[in-house]
Order: sequence, then C-alpha cells, then structure tokens
Amino acid sequence: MEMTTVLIVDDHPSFRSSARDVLEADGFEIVGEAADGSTALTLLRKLRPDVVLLDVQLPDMTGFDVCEECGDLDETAIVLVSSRDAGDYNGLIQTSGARGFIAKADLSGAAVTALISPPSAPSSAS
Amino acid sequence: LSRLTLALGLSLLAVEAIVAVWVIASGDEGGSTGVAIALALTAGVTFVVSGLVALTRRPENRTGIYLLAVGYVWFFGALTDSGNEWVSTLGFLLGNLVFAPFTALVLAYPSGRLRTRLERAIPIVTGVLLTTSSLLVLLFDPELADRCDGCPGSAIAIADRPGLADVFDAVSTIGGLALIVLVVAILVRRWRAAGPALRRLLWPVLFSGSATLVAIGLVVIADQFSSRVADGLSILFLLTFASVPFAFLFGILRTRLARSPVSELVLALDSGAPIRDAMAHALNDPSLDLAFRLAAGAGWVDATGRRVPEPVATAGRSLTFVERAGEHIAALVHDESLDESPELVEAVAAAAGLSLQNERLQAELRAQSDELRTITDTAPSVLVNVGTDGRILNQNRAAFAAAGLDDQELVRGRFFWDVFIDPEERDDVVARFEALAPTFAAAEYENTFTNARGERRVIAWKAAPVIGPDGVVESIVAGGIDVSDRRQLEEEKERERAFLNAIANDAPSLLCLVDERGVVAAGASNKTFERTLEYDPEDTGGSVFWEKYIAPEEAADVAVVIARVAAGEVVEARDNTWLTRSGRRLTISWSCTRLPSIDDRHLLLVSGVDVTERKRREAEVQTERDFLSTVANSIPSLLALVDADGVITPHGVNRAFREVTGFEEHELVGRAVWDAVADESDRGAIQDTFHRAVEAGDPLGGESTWRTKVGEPRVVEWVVIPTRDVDGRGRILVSATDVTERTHRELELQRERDATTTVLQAIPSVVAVLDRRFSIRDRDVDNPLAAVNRAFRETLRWRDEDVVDRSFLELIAEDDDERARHALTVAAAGAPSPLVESDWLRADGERVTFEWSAAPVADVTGRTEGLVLVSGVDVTARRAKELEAARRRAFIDTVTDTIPSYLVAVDEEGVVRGDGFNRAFGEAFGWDVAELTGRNLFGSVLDEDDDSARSAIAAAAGGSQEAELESVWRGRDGRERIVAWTAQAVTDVRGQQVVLVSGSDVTERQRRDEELRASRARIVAAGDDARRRLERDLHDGAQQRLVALSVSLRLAESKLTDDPQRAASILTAARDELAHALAELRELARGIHPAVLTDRGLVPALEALVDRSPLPVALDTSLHTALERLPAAIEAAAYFVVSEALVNVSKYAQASAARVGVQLEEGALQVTVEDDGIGGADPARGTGLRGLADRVAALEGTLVVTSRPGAGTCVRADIPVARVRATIPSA
Repeated sequence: MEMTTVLIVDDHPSFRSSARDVLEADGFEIVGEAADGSTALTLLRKLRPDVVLLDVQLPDMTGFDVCEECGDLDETAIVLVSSRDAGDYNGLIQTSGARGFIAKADLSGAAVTALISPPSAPSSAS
Repeated sequence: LSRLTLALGLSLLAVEAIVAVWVIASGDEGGSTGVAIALALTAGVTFVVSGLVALTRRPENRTGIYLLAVGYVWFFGALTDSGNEWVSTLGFLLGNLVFAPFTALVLAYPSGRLRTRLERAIPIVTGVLLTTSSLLVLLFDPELADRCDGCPGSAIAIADRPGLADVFDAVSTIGGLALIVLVVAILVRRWRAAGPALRRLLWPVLFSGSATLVAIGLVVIADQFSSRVADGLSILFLLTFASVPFAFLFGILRTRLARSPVSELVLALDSGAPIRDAMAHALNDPSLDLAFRLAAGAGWVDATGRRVPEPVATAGRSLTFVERAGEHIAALVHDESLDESPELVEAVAAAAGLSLQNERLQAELRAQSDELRTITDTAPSVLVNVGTDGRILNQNRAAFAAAGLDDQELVRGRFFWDVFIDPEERDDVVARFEALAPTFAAAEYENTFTNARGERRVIAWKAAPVIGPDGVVESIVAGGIDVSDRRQLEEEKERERAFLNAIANDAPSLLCLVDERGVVAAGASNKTFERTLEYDPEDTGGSVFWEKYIAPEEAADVAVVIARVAAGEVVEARDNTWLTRSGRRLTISWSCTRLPSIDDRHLLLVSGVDVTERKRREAEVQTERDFLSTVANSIPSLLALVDADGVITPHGVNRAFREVTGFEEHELVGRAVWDAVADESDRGAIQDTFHRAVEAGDPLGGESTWRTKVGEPRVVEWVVIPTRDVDGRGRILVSATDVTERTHRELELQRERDATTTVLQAIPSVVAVLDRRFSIRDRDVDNPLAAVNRAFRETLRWRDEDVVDRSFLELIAEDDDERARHALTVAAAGAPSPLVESDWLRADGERVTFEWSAAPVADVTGRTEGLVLVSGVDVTARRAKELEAARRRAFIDTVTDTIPSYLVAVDEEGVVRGDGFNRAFGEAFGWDVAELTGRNLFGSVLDEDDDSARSAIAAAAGGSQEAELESVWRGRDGRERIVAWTAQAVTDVRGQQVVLVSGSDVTERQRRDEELRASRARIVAAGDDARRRLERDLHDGAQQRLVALSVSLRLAESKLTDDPQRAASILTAARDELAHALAELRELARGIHPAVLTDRGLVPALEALVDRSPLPVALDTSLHTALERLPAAIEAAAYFVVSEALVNVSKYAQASAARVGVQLEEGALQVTVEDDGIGGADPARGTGLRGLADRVAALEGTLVVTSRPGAGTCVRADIPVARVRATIPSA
C-alpha cells in the first residue's frame, strides 16, 4: 500500500516540525511544507498531495482563501488546522470546501485518516 | 243789304258758275278731274253765298265783300281751261288774282278792316305780284308749257322766251311764298294776342285760312319737284280753301246760336249769381267789366261799389251802355270781338237790365259803405271783426298796420290770436275766448304782441258782440287803440320813477309817505326805512304812522307834529324814539314835509336819520366821565385839585385823600392844601415848591410829613402837576402818595437783607464780594471782616486780614488765558460772567479747583455800584473723579483694544457704529474704523443670510440676551474664523443704546477639540491594537508552544511502549518547551501591566525596567520609593513613557547610555528620558510615541520630544498630578 502524501502549511516552524514528527510516525509521507498561502498554492499544484494540512491563520491570506483558490484540486483533501477551536470560525469550515478541521492539539495520524477515509466513516467534528 | 244787291250777287254767281261749267266742259279733256272741278265750283259758290250772308248780316263789315270778291274772282281760274286762246289767257292772267281778296279776307277777319298799313299792303302786293308775273309769263311763253295743262297757249305772247318766263314764274313763286309766310305769321301773332272770346271767334277762320295758305304754299313748292304730289296737294288746297267760307259761316252761326245764353243768363240771375259773372259767362267774355252809373250823375262804381272812372272804350275793349228808361244805368266794357255780336250784347244787356238796375242800387249802397270803409280804414283805431270761432272776418287798415301786414295780405279766416297774440300767450287767450262764449260779453283788455314785422305793439282793446236778429252772437267786434307809443312813454316815466325810487331807496335816510291823517301810504317807504325798522316793504303801509313806528309815550307828540305839517306849518326836525318791528328802540332824528299835491292827494314825506348810535356814544362819553371820576376816587393816590393859590376847589379831593387825611371834603375846600394837611414844619417848603411848579408849568414834588385830622404823622411823597381842565381853565393837581408804609417796608427789606447775608454765610458755595479793582472788600465800613462767607473761610482757610483788600486774582493759582480776569471784568461791567474753572490757592499753599462765576451786585445799602460777587464751588473732588473716570475709560479702551476678543458695536440692524469695534476685531478681519463704520456687519463680516445672527442682534437690541452663537466670520482677506459670540444691549460712551457683539475666535479651540477627539480615538485604537497584539503574542508564542507540547506529549505517549528511549527524549524536549512557554507568558504579562508597578509603585517598577534594559541606564528620581504612591493612571503613564522611550532608545538611538529622570514638582510629575544617541527622531512617525502623547494628554499633561540630529533625544512628559481624573483608563 502506498503511503498517503501530506503537505503541511503553517507559518509556525515549531508546529510544522511537530506535525511532521507525528504524521510520519503514523505512516504518512510528508511531501512538502509551506509557511504562507501563496507558497502553499504553488506547492499544491506542483506536488498534488493526498492531504494538505492547512493552517487557518496565515501571514498573507487565510486558510479559507486558500481553499477557495484550490477548489478545483479534487484529489487533495484539505484538512484545516488551527490552535483555536472550530467553533471560533462560526460555520466557515463547513462551507469552505475543506474535508474537515482538526485542532492542532488533537493532531494525529488517526485524526487525519478518519477525515480522509470514505464517507462511511464519521467525520471528526473537533 | 238790299234785296236788289242780293239778287245781283246771286245772279252774278249764277252767271259765273254757268260760264265756268261751260268753259270747263268745253275745254280739253285731260284737264282737271271731275272732283277738282266740283270742288272748285263748290268753293266759288260757297264764298259767294257766304259773302252775301255776311253782307246781309253785317253790312258795315267788309268781310262779306272780301268773301264775295274771293268767290267771284275764283271763277276766273276756270277760264284757263277754255279752248279759246284769249279766254284761256284771261283766265291765266286773272286766275291767281283770287289770293288778293283772300289774304284781305283772312287778315281783316273778324272786324272786316285792315288795320295796319302792312295789312292793307299785303292784298295789293299779292294781286300785283301774281298778275304781273302771269302777264310776263304770257308775254314770253306762248306755249305755257308745264304751266297750264291743256291751255291753248298765250294769246298775247310777244316773244317766245320760256326761260325768261321761268324766271318770272320763279320770282312770283318766291314772292308768293314770302307773302304766305308773312300772312301766316300775322295770323299766328294775332291768335296769340287774342283773348278767349276773340279766339273763340277767330279760330275757325284763322285755322282754315292759314291751312289754305299753307296748302297753296306746299302746292307751289311741290310743283317744282313733282306734278303728281302737286296735284294731290291741290286737292288738299281745294278742300281747305272750300272750308274757309264754312268757317265764316260757322262764326256767323255762333253768333246766332249765342242768343241762347241769354236765357241762361236770366236763369242765372234769378238764381242769384253775381251779375257780372253771369253776364261774362253769357257774353263768353271773362274780361267783362261792369260799371254802374250812380244816380244824379254822381259818377261810376264797380260791382263791389268801388268808385271807378267813367268807362271808355280802349284798344281791344269796346264799351256798351245799358240804358233804362232813357238813362245810362250801366256800361259794359268788353272785348271788342263782341262788337261782331251786337245783338248778343244787347240781348244780354236787356236780359240783365232789371238785375243791373238792382245791382246798380246795391253798388250805390256799397259805394256808401265803401265810404264808411274808407272812414274805418282811415281811422287810427284798429277794428277787427271776429267770428264766434275766433276767426277774423274782416279788419280795417289800421288793423293790418298793427298786425304788421299789408292790406293785400290775407288775414281773413285766420284766428285773431294767430295775428294779434304772441305765441306764448295764445293758449291762454284761446282759453279766455272760449270762456267768453257764447255771450261774449263786452270786455276791455290790453295786450302786447310782436307783429309780423317784428314790432312790439301794445293794443288797448274794447270788444263787444254783434248780436244778430235772432239774438245769437254773430261776431265780435274788437276795437283797439295802438298804445305802443303811449306805453313806451309810460314805461319811460316808470323807469324815471324807479330811478327816483332807487335813489330814495338807497338814501341813508328813512323815508316814508303818510297822508294827512298820518296813515302810511302803501309801498311808500324806502329800503332804509324798511331795513332799519325791520319791516318787509309790503308791511310798511296802511297803519297810522305814530301808532306803528313811534314809542307809545311819544306817539302823541309825533301825531301833533304831523298834524301841524299837514296843516301847512313848517316844523323843525326833532328826535323821537321809534320802534322797530322787534321792539328795539331807535332814536331817530326826523322831520316831516308836505309834498306838492299829486292827484289831489296831499302826502307828507317823513324823513329820518337813525341817531341811536350817536346818542349811545354821547351816553358813553358821559359814562366815561363818571368812570374817570370813579377811578379818581378809587385809586390809592391822594388827589387834590387846587387853584393857582393852592386852594382846594369844590369836589377837588378824592376818596383816598379824604380817607388818608381823615378830613371831610367840606373841611378841606377853600383851604390851601398845605395849610390843610401838611405838618407845620413842612408847610413853607411845600408852598415854595408849589409856586415854582405853577410858574414853570412843570411838575415838581417832594416828600413831607402830613398830619391827619387826629394828628397822626404820615410820610407823603407828593407832586404838584399844573394842568388845564376841559374848560381850559388852569388847575393844579396835587397828587400825593402815602409812603409811610413804604418806609416800613424798607426796614423790612433791611431785615431781609440780613437774612440773605445769613444764607450767604450758610450756603456751601464759596462767596466773596470784590470791589471794582477786584479786591476783596471788607464787610462794611465799620466791619473789618472780609466780605466772604463761611464756606470761603473754611475751604480756603484764609484769615480775614490776609484777604481784605487783596486782589482776588492773587488767589488764582494760574489764570490761564486770563479767564478769571475776563470773568471779573464782565461782571464789573454789569453782566453775569460765564462759568470759569480755576485753581485757587489755599492758605496752606494747596490748590483747590473751583468752578465759579462772577456777577454784578449791589452792596447791602444798594448804593455802591461796580461790586462783583464771586461765587464758586469746590470741584476738586469732582475733578479727581472725572480724572479717574477718564483713566478708567482709557483703561477700558486699552483693555478693549488689547483683549483678543472681538468687540463690535452695532445697531439693531447690524450697522456698525462709529468707533464701533476694537483693535482685535479690526486686525483679525482687516477693517479700519473709517471703512467699516456705517457698514452692515452682515455682508461685510457676517454672512448675509445668517438669520440666527440677525435675530440674536435684534433680540439683544430688544433687551434680551440670547445664548452664545457660533458663526463663521469672514475677514477682508477671505479668511474665515469660527467665532463664538454673544450680543448684548449696552449704553455706549455717548449714552446711546447699542448692541455690543463680543466674540472670541474659537477656531483654535475647535482645532484642539478636534485634536482631542482624534487623540481619544487614537487611545481607543491603541487599546484595541494592544489587545490585538497581545492576542497575537499569545497565539504566536505561548499557545503555539503549548500546542507543540501537546503534540509532543501525544507522540511521547505513543512511543512510550514501543520506543521508550524515544519517548524519554521527546519528554525532555517537551519539558524545555514548557519552560520556554512559561517565560514567554511571564514576559507578556509584564508588558501588559507590570505587577511590580501595581504592587510596589512607580519607582520600583522603573528600577526593574532599568535593570532589564540592554543599555546602561541611570535612574534619577526625587520620589520616595514605595511609600509615595501617585494615582495609578499617572504611574502607568510615567512607566510606559519610560518603557517605550527606552525601547526606542535601544531600537533606534544607537546610544551608549540613557538617563531616566522622574521628579514631582509644583503639582506635576516630570518624566524625562534622555539618550546620547543620534537624535533626529520624528515624534509624529511612530505610533508608540503618539500613543504615549495621547495617554499623557488624557491626563492633561504634555509630552515633548526634543530630538535634534546628533544631539541625542529627550522625551519629556509633564503630567499634572492634582487634576488627574480617575476615569482615564490605564491601558
């Protein structure tokens, strides 16, 4: 079985490092990292990862903006992450086109797998 | 005409006719036709028969002879048809001769006489012409070709010259035609000249004769052109020719038939027709005149009775006398043609004979009445006979004349009022006339009218009815006399009388006429009489004069006077009281005169003049005299009339004299006035003065003591006045006045004066009396005190001896412009001086300001002139106040001009008053006084449409004070300022009400307010910003570390069993991470509000801060440490100023060291942070400094950054401590 490829987008290097450690430990292949929205979009089109971990708060744009920009990339599951609570975003997540949201403190390979699994699996709400 | 002649004529006719028939019958065939022959024969026979008849009837008339001649000669013409040459020649020669008697016949008809030479010549010429021409033709034309059809030729031809014969023929033809024309012309003329009777007689003969002549003329003319036409015309000629005798016969028959009118005449006369008209009709002569011969050869009259001359026959008029019993009773003057019918005339005359006789008698009567008419006509009276219907039946000549008409003009049948009455009176007259019907009683009246010639006529009429046999009025005869001239005279007389009356009326005298019994004649008073006595003119007459016009008590007297005058006596004028209608009593000076008798009436003229007024004046004079005497008695002066010796005359003293002296009049009269009343000691002097006055004729007087009857002395001032009384006698009036009382009064006056002096002494004004040298007088000769009052002494503190006799001018400190001297001079000259202000010297050398004036005054005795009273008021205090007021005003002016507020004085409309604004205003808005004064503030400074400003000013002018307004005020340079202003009514220095607009420029304040608002907004924004930053810091710092820690722990957990080594290392890393997170949180909390600041105060907080600073920082503070706490906001502000400034120093200043100073001085905390860095910091750039400034400003402090390049930077904050407001939140 091929490993699921992941692009990590976050402006905090410490999170990117932690996320890489956690996901690689859970068997994901980290194909790239981006610190801002525009880099993320470029890498998305270039790498075509299975999953993109997308921080909501980026220096140049928000994660929702990135979602909108890459709406045509069906093969990539967008997983929004934030150190805040999902409720802080007031329903924006459901309409963003992202596959789901994971609070940073709850990040784990299982959480990601649960989101990108077929629809039969219940999506993680927080 | 004898039977023999008749027989002879008829025989001759027979012979001729037979011969003619024979000749014709034996002549050549182809001659005249049977008809022509028959006609020719008939014509000849007819002429002859007619001629015989005419001769039988009128043997003296030659018409018959002419007829016979025509008839007999006519037959010669037939001889031409004879075959015998000689008979034919004879016929030819004589055939045309018939026209000679024919023309005579025609021309002589009807009288049978050829009256003029021409008439007589024409037949002869005709015969000669025609016979001669025929003879010549016979001599020269043997054949007679074309001249005589069927003629055997000339028997006497001597030469065959038919051409010559033609000439003769032509000549005779032309001559014949000329004669025809001539005869016809005469006949036409005669016809035209004939009257109707003659015409009736003439026309058959003239017509047939003329026709015959015309026909022969036509035959002759036609013969020249066509024999056939000539033949036809010959028939016409024969017809007309043959008719001529019938015409004559007709004329004769007419005469015969005319007998029948006679019977008509008889019938007409029986039926009463006018005889002349009946006869004229019967005679068929309308021109008939009838004249009657009066009996006894008294001449002739016409049918109307008018006298006519004895009738005579004239040309064309014949006269026929009518005889009766061998006497000519009448004459008919008729057309002479009736001479042809004498039997008719006779028959008519005979038939009318009886009537003529009657008519003659009537004519005679008429002639008599005509005489009467002549008389009436020549009488000057107007006579008019008027029918009962008012129409004029007849009138006499005078009536015509009066009516302005000629006799011929027809007035008969016209209404008399149309002739004799003016149009405007006609209706009236008609009514009156109708009222008189049917009796038309005799009446007299006079009327005036304008006649047809426009003349005014006045007729005095008398009218009476003419009563017929049946007792009915047939007509009214009115006889009038034209009195126009008389009336004119009367009118003149009337005018004259009116003129005299007018004079009498206008005379100022009262005039009236009374009869001998004293009764006033009616209408015999003049206007003055009526006006004076108040009667209407119609009311004056009819009463007895003295009963009506004289006061009852004098009536008898007046009656006597009038009776005496009536008796012929002459009585002088006298005055009596007359009464007016309203009862007023008038004094009338009157007289009565007997007038020459008029109409046997003896009238008296009463004439009077109203002298009431004169009498009243006389009475007034008397009253006036009484009055004067009363006055003399009532005036208080003592009056005595004395003679030249001073002796009092009777009635010579008045009441005052008696009363004052106590003497009765009888005790005084006859005594010399001085002996009577003067004190013994003064008698000589009075007497002496009296005599001198009398001698000089001028009044002289003196003062003496008189004694009353009871011996009481009276001081008397007396005057002797020489006068003349009304009679011219010299009288001396001694007029005296008792002055005893006056002496008393003088004493009183003196007391009064003393009182005045007291007052002078008491009044606060300073008073001094100066002599004419302006020296202060002593009070009196025997009083060494100065003549100044107490106020003078007290105010100026001079001792009397220092000022008496001292010039007042020496007391004046400085007499600028010599005003003081001028005032004194004016007063010395007798006039009050103007007010002067001077400083007077006080005894101690001080100056006292006086406002004073000088006035002329008499001293207490009143006998010294030229004294000057100086009176003044100390105005030093007032002056000082005025000075102070002036200074205050100057101060206010200065203030006004120095304060930054804008002050403008305007009226209620906003118009700027003079000097109406202060300097601040002028400078701010660019106006100077001259330019803005009088302009309206609105439009120059304030916006024209600023209604709220207008109403504020108007309201202020009305006395109310409006709230402060903010308006935009515009300077001349266009710069706008926001001015907060109020308007208030004030009274300016001139006392006028103005509206003072005072405003201050709040543009800067507004700006600061704006700044404040911005600052507050920044503070809020800074707070927001800080919180955002905090959130970010938490998010980016501690939170991230905690997230990572969480992830690491999860990872360590997952490795714990599988890879404990790995888990241990992860946990170690996690512990480090957690330590980092804690450190970050601590730092963060300190940045928000250091705990040390809250817990221990500013100085420990600053010490901690300085300790943490990367640079060496010296802290210099005078504050005591923890013990001395300031309000938290101030501490926070100071802390953050230092904190931020040190951050900036370390960040930008490149400094080596810094110094922080915190001092509390004069209620303000002074915080300074200085460095030795590069300087050049821009305080406006960083948000940090801005935020600090806002924070400090919120505490009403100031933050100043001084940062010159190369000289380091100094941030200094001054925060007032006392005024800190706790509401300012600390960030």
